[in-house]
Amino acid sequence: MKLDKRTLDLGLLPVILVAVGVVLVLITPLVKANVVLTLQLGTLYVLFAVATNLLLGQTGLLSFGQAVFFGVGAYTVTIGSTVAGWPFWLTVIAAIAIPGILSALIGALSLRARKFYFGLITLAFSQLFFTLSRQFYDLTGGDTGMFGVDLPKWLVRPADSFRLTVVVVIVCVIALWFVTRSPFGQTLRAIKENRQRAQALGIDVYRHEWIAFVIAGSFTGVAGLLFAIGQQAAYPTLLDWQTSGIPLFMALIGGMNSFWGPIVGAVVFHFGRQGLVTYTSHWQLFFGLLILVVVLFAPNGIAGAVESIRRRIAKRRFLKEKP
Amino acid sequence: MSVVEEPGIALAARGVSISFNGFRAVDEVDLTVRQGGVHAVIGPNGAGKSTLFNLITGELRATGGTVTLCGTDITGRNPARIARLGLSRAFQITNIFPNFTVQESLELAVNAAKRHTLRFLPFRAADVPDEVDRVLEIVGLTPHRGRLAKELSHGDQRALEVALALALRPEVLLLDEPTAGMAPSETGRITDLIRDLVDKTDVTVLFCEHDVPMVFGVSDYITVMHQGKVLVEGTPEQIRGNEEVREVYLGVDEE
Repeated sequence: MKLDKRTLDLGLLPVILVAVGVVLVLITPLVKANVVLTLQLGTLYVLFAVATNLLLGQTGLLSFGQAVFFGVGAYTVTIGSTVAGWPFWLTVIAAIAIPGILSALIGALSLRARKFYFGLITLAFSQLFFTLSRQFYDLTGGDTGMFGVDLPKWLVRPADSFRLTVVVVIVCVIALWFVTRSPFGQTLRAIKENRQRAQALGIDVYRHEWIAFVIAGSFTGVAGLLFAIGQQAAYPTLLDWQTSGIPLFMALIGGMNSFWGPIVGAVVFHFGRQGLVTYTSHWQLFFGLLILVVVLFAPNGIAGAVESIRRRIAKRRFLKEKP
Repeated sequence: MSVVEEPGIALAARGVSISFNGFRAVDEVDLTVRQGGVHAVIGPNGAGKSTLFNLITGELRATGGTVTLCGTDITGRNPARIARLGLSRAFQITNIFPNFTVQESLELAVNAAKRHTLRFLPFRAADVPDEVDRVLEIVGLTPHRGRLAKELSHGDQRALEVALALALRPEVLLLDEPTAGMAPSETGRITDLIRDLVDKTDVTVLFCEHDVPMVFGVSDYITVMHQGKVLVEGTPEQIRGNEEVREVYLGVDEE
């Protein structure tokens, strides 16, 4: 995929993603509707995790507020289409724009603080929106949330919303892949590696972090929009800190230092949970153990473990060839 | 806030001071750095050299005084702003991007210098690769371009440290103990580099150092600091012959 020396290495990832997407779209008619719904959720979680990892893995920002953008994206769809009765296209635009604007505001405020203070402020915003969603009963349905979304005909069947989700998620993830490979993405990585040095190079760290926050928030909003379309619901839990924890766990399991780590992490987390839930109601116990094992034995997640195995094999082969 | 421009002066500090809990680490320091030369600041441990440098580059905020860079007041500006205005620095403790390759480090610095860091598509700007090659060549890191910064030898890390600052094409290059931790046999590499830079380009170098013989060999002008104040300044010959300097700093061994 190398065009000339100005093109930064794009890797195989876009090709693999498109191939997986084509397979998913083709097999949809063969899959039962309830499985399609699970697949749809898993697919949008991939976007949720990858967008969040632009902050966590790329920039080194631990935000507990990603649920705000996910939940607001979902609520905008339910409120827009049902309560406000907007046309679908307007609902979609609003569900992308509102989380984007919110992330611009929340980012501008919370990035004034550093490290765990930043984390705490984002956590406070998450709880604020969680509380608001329960208070404004007429708009949000309070604690129960809202179920049912007025969708256009071409989106009503689970298979349709799943296909849309696959296409949107792949386009968004490839866009985020490009961002991480761009001069901007490299600058974010530099900020994570050595903030003081980045500053000494004349880089306005706050501004770059803010833009990363807005990109992550906007793409997370898209994941929330897809949630509302596929699952046809929005409820307060989508806004609270447990939901913010979901993409963080995914990135942790998959490996936050690699771009495809959170993708694998999302798949393992979501389908692992689905699998466990059918056998035991204590699935969280097993996940706790999994996190423990990852942190202790594979701090760079699945992607990191695969990478170190690959390197060991390459080394052994090298030693065999040159005795 | 612009000060009347004095021609030929790259950097000027006037009455710069800072106190830590009542202790005046830098006390009413005046420093005038002429364009196109090598200016060294020396002084015993705790003389306030590094603190003065941190005041100039904006890492610390002065409690008094002003700093001007080519006639522009930079007092109290943040480090990123000052770097963009043309004063870049290398740090005393090696301060690099450990998991970046040498190539990536310099691409980053060149992107920062050319304001390309807000490009969101995976393409290098046309003017980046040649500039990276140029800087690598100057500091002699071309053979190591593919290696991770953390895997370089200490001497090469020092060279990378200087290269990062140099990639910004600064008016004034500020080097905080550029040979810190280097073996005496390696320091020649840095002094040659400094001399070369000043002779071949129009950059001005301001640096502070412990290694006194090295300073005399490379500098055009020397400021001696002692207990947060400027003790004396002058050409290497003047400093070498100065009794006061011998007493506080050079000791009897210095020849």
